Amino acid sequence: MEEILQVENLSKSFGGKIAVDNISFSVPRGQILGFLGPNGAGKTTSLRIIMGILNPDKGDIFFNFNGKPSSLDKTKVGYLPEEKGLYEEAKVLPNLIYIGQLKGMKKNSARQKAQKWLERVGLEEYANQKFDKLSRGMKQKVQFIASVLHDPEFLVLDEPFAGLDPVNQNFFMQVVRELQEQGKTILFSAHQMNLVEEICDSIFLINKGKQILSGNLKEIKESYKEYNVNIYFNPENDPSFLLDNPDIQINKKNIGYLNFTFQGDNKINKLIDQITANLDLKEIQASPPPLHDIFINAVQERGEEVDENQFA
Amino acid sequence: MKKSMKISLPNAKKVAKWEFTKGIRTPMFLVLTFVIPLLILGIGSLEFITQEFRQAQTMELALIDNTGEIGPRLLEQTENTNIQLEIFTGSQEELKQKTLNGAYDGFLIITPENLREGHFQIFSGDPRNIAPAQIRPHLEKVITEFRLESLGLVKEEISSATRPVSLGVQALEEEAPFAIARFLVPIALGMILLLSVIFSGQMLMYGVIKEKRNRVVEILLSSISSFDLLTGKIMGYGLLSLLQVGIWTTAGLLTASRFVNFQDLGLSLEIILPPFIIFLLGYIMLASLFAALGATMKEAEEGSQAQGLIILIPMIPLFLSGLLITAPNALWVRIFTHIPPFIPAMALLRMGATTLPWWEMGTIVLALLFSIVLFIYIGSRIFSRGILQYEAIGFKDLSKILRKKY
Repeated sequence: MEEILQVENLSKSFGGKIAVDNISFSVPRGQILGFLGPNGAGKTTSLRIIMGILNPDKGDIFFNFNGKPSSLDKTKVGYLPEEKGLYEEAKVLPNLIYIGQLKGMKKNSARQKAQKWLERVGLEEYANQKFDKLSRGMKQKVQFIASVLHDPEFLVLDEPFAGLDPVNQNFFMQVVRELQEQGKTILFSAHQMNLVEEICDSIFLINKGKQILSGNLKEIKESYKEYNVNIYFNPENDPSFLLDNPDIQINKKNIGYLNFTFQGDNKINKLIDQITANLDLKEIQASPPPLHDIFINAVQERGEEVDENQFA
Repeated sequence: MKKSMKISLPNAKKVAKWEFTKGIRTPMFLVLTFVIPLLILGIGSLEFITQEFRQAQTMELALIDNTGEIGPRLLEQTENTNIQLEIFTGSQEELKQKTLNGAYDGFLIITPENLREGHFQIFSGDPRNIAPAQIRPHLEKVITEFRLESLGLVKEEISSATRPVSLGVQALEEEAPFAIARFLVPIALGMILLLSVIFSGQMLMYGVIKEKRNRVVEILLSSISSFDLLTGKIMGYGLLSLLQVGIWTTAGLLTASRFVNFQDLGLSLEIILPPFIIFLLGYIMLASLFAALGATMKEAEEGSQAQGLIILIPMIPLFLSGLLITAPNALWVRIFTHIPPFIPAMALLRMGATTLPWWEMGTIVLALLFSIVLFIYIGSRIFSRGILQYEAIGFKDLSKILRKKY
């Protein structure tokens, strides 16, 4: 598959503190890549280097627009920075038109596109409102429009869901999916892994500047031969046969309910057969581990520590 | 991934247009641009109104003329003026009482003694109603003519003897008299430069600080280079400043036209253009310096304190203007005219005092252009680096930013 972005051996430090430590990854055209890690992992620095705002100490970045290798073309890339803001005293529409023009758009085209997007996100009434009069969620929507207004091939979103309520988070996820359907390639960073695993095709996990894990999300999950299992059964049944299974680690136990982790390679189907034969089941859920757990495991396997607070 | 210093003029123009239209609507610009001309016009009008008022005010004076010669002449001399003179034939005590009762603003006694000594006194109930300056020229003329007549001179001889003297300066290589504009234009532009830098330079610096604080800078730098961004900002604020200066100059000229005949100043393109070029480049250079300074700061308050100090540095030559005007071609003066922060003020002051040789005009313009590029380059580097921390940048950080890639 053709790659729109290729990052090779990227490193960056500030005053002796390493922010990004020799990372490499690529973003296949048309895919959504989640650039994930806790706060302070080096995500924003990496994205700023990709966007040409910072220079790396070491490493190379290659783009491929319209099927041709090229350097960064800022008119073909949309960027939603982590530190969000536009001109506070200026009105919403002029703000968007200005950013559109800086991205190479004609004024009229920028105006039309901005109005369409404002309608799409339900902010058409606020076009002539000053930016500082908008709520946080509204500001984030306007800022998002500023990053997609010029119809970029490649979209870089730094923490697009940060500070949003669940309704707005869902809204943004829906828009990101739509953009992918239109053929856009999206690279976005986030620290809320539960949210992003729903829409990512592939992931790149980073911690303390170092590359932890990368690849196709589905394949990564499948490679973790571990399942999180919830069972609801008749309280009169005896589930002790499960407690004796060496591949099972009980997490929670109640009358008529069990939650456990099963590390049984390809034996999950066999286990389900066993459960259905021995218990009067009301419900059973068996799912691969969440991305957050995969991340923690991967970091711990490297002998490193994770600060759970940095995911907040 | 090396950043280049290559400028994209279309991008800089877009930024300039945005900054210009944004800046022109700010209350600070509107107040500074229109309040100052109103003040200039107001001061001019005040002078005009007081003059009119003074002319309209009639001073009623009585005169006891013991010589019998001066009274009628003075009466004739003050005809059609705002001095209403009456020759009083009663006693001095009677006149004193009448004056105290308000019949006259004051009275004057002319005796052969004070005619000889040339010392006269106006007696008044309220001396504030007397303007001696109004009557003195008339009295002086009458008495001088009377004295000369007493010496036996005829009217034509008196007219010839009392003809006013004028003194002019003629440049050797010019046919026309020395144009006072050669002195006035550079000095006036120096003063305007000081005002422009204080006002619009301050707006530019606050704009830069605000952009950092608003976090808008990151999205801008993801669209265009920091060099284009800062160049555009300086262009935009430069245009704003030119508009402001244009309005101020128009108001100033309108006011001055009441008192000065511009044809007498000897204004010409040849006189205006060279100092205007220095003014324009000087403004851009100082604006670049302020933009670079703004990039290092976090808060506007911090900006205003630092700016107060920075403004003083380029304006130091103004405090040394006495020395500069007396020795405009001294070696130290020539050297300082090429050192960045002092160039515009030094050059304008020297241009008011002497005619700079063409080669020196060339080196000054080159030094200005070099300084502009240097300051924008430094500012854009600091600007890019500054977005990482949104904090004030110290001298230690500055040297790192300039030495290392960022």
